[in-house]
This record gives sequence, structure tokens and C-alpha cells, in this order.
Amino acid sequence: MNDIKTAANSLLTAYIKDTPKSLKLIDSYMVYVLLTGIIQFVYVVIAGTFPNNAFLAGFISTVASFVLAANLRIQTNPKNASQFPTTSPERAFADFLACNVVVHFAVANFLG
Amino acid sequence: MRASILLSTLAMALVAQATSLTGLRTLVLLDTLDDVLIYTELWSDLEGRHFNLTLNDVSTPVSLTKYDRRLYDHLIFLAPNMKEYPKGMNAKEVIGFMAEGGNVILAGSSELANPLRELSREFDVEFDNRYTSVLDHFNYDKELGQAKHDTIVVDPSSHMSKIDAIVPQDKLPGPILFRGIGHSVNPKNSLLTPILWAPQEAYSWESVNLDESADQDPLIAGKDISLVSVMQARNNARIAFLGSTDMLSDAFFSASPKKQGDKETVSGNRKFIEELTKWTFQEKSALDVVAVQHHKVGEEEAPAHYRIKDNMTYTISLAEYHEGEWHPFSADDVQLELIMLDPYVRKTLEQLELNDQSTVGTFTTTLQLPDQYGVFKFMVNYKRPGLTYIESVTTVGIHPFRHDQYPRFISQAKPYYTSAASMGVGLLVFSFVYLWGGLDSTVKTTKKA
Repeated sequence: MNDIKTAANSLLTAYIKDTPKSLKLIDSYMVYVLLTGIIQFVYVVIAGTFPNNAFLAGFISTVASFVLAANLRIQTNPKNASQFPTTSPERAFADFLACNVVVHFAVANFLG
Repeated sequence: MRASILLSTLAMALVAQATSLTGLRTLVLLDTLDDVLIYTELWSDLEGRHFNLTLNDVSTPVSLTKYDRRLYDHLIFLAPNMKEYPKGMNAKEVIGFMAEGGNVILAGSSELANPLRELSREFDVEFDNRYTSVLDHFNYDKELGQAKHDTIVVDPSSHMSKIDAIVPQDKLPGPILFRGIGHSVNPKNSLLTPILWAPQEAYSWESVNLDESADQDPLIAGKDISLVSVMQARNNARIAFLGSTDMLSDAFFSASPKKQGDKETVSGNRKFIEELTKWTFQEKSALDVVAVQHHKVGEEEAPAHYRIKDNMTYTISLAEYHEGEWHPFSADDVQLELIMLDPYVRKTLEQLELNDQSTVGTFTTTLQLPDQYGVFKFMVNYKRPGLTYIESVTTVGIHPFRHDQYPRFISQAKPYYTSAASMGVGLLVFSFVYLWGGLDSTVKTTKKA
């Protein structure tokens, strides 16, 4: 138990110390998206699937946001730079925005 | 002058009081013209109801139709011995005559010959073998049936159909006398209705050699022996089968039936035959649809189409013909069906109260249309024994909601709307902070790496 506590503590310290601010921002954004998705899923279990299209649109918007944010995090992480020699962080962010625009168009159409 | 006007008015009143919906031209087929004298009361009854009788014997050529038109409206067979149809007539012609709307009365006797048997068979009515009679050693008439016990007294209260549309029981002054052949009807044929049947103790047996003892069971006995049956074809043409020509004779009309040990009574034959011929010749129990109306609740006119789940009112007006006039029809079992292949709604219509001015019976109901769009039929399918079959069909379209007739936002889906919006706002906030939130160092670090 103590070991787990120590490990968690060191993980947290290392995260706070070593992770760049931009990645922390992406992480907090992803947590927010994840929570929104979970709340919707709980709601659909309780309230039923009646406007099914609206549920799908809302849920898919969170899933897509999460996935795109994860991609952005991978591509802008300095430690992964060797894997993406041609992708600058600016380029990654532009991709991220472009994909989000497409996603939100689809979601707005499907929402009902 | 005044007298002549009065006379013509009187004549018109008499004509107006008549009579058959089909028409008045009646052909009567007799074995020989001598038989005319047996049925004089019948002739006077029918002529009193304005029928034009043509009395023919079976050897006179006759044709029922000309240029595909009926030459007669009613046909009475009082010729049980007829071995062959008159020239120009056959079973097919008679059936065609009915298909054209003509009505038929077919009376048999113990000697009933083949042509009429075969004709009856076409209608699922099977007469017993030739020379058989309905015999009853308990219910025979003291006077007419003394010798052979073949004239039986039938009590209408227990051995007659309860369908008032055909022969109402309370109009008969006494029991009915019957002497003749029995028949059986196919119980599966729902168009056929037995009207009079034999007492429990009766049986159908050869009436020629009564001295010979019976060596086998009779083909039909007791209540299975139908004495009088009627059929209304799908086109509402009517036909009546009687096992006895004697039932219609003057002798039976004026007889005083008396069973062994009972008191003398008055013969109900005349009234029975009167009611039976009135029914068969469409002088009563004929129904007609006068009007069908339907509209949305709160409106007056029928719409071009309905929408699913609309509330609407359906009204049908029915009239019944009797005594030479149309009267309001009354019933509590008229049903409306809403059909698209299957009935989606079936509802009993309520009759509006009749008053002095009523000329039709009005049946109405208010209902909600089903949650199903398509082409529907409002159908009143009213088929009761003794009454004209009613099949009223109104075709209506039921439309679904248009896209803009649904609610724009569904309250149940509000969390999803919020979520989608928050994803958009979240993206904006995130982008703003990411670009202008003072995180440049990271980007620089990345570049160096």
C-alpha cells in the first residue's frame, strides 16, 4: 500500500516537473472531454435511447474530440519528435483544428 | 272531375304503398293449369300486394331473360312434378336470373322431381329421396293427417327461427301445417338460414308403402329436417325453399290445426306465407346506405386526407324498407372497421336517438386514427341473416407528420445538445489558451529538439 502511495507520488511529481505546459493543457482538455462523454453514457443508460440520433451525435462529438486531442498530444510531444520529422507542432495543431471543424459539422447535422 | 282526381290519388296511394323493391313481374310455374284453383288465396294475397302474376304450366315455353335483361322479377316454382324445365329455361338460367337480382320461391312435395332437386343442390339444399315424406306420429294433424300422419303441426315458438327480419313470431295467429318432403341444409353455408324445422319426433320416410316395416334408419330425423329454409345470395337476391306446396294451398290456409289431445287452433300458414313472400320478394328487411360522412373533430367537411393520430368522427345513415316505405333502421351492432389489409380499429357505432322527423337511422362514432400511415378503408360490413348485406367502403389517405410538424427540440435530448455545444466551446477555449496562453516555450523546445 505504502509502495503504491510512493509510486503515485513520484509519478505525480515527475508529471508536474517534466511535462511541458502545452501537454498539460491538452491533458486537462482530454479529462474534460472524457467526463462529458461518461456523463452522457450514464444518462443514456438511465433515460433510454429515444432520440437515438441526438445521443449518437453528442457521444460521437466527445469521442472524436478525445481522439483528435490524443493525436495532437502524440504529435506535439517533444519525446516523439523523432517519429514525426516532417510534422511541426504548428502543422499538428492545424490538422487538429481542421479535423475538429469536420467533426462538428457532422455532429451538428446529426444532432436533429 | 273531382271524383277522378280522388280516384287517381287513391290509385297513387295504393301504388305508393306497394311493394317489392325488385319489381312486380312474377312468373309462377305450375304442374298443370288446373292447380291454379288450389292456391286462389295465395293469388289474391299476392295481387293485393300489386304483383303481376303470370301463371304458366311447365309445358309452355318461357324465357326468363331477353337481351341480358330479366323479363320477370320473381319466380315461383309450384311444380314439384316438373320432369323437365319448360322450353327455353334450365337450371343455369334460373341461377343467372338470381345473379341478375331476381328472387325465387321453390316449393316441393313428396314427388319432387330431379330438375328442382338439382337446382336446390346448387344452393347447398338437399331434399330427401323421392316419395319420402316428413312423418310424425305425435304431432300430426287430427283432420288432415289422420291416415298417414304426414300432415304435421309445427309450433312456431319452438321450431321456427327467431329472426324477426324474416318471419316475426308474434304475427302468426297459430301453428303451421306442413305436408311434404324434408330437406337438409349445409350448416357451413352461412348464407343459408333454416326458418322452420320438424319436431323432435319427426322422421323422413317413404310415404308410399307405409305397411312395410322400416329396415333401416331414416336419412334425416328430428330437428335436422328443415321444412323451410331461405338463402340470401351475396348480391342480395333471395330464395326460399319449402318442402311443401300444400303449405300454400287454400286448404291449409283455412285449416284448423289440431294435434291429438290439443285444442283446435287457427292455421298460421297464411300469415307465415305472407311474411315469407314479403321477405323473399324484397318487400321488407331491405337495407340501404343513405349517407356516409366523416370529418375531423371540430370540423364539418371531409378533409382531403387525414394525418396519423387525428381525432375524427364517422357517421353512416341506414334506412330499412318495409310497408312500401323507407324507415329509420335501428340496431346496436353496427361496427366500423378501419382497414389497411388488416383491421387496425374496429368499433361499434352508436345510434343517435330517433325522433318524429327521423327518416334514417344514424350511427356514429368518434375515434383516434392509428399511428400508421397509408391508404385506409372505412368499412361498415354489416351482414345479418334476413337483412340486406351492407358493405360500405370509403377510402381515405392517412398521412404521416411532415418534417416541420414534429417538435424542433426534444427535451429528453437536451443533455446531448449541451454536450455537442460544450465540445465546440471547449475547442475554442482550448485553442485560445493553446495559442495565446504563454505556452510558446514548449513549441520552442520542440523546435530545438
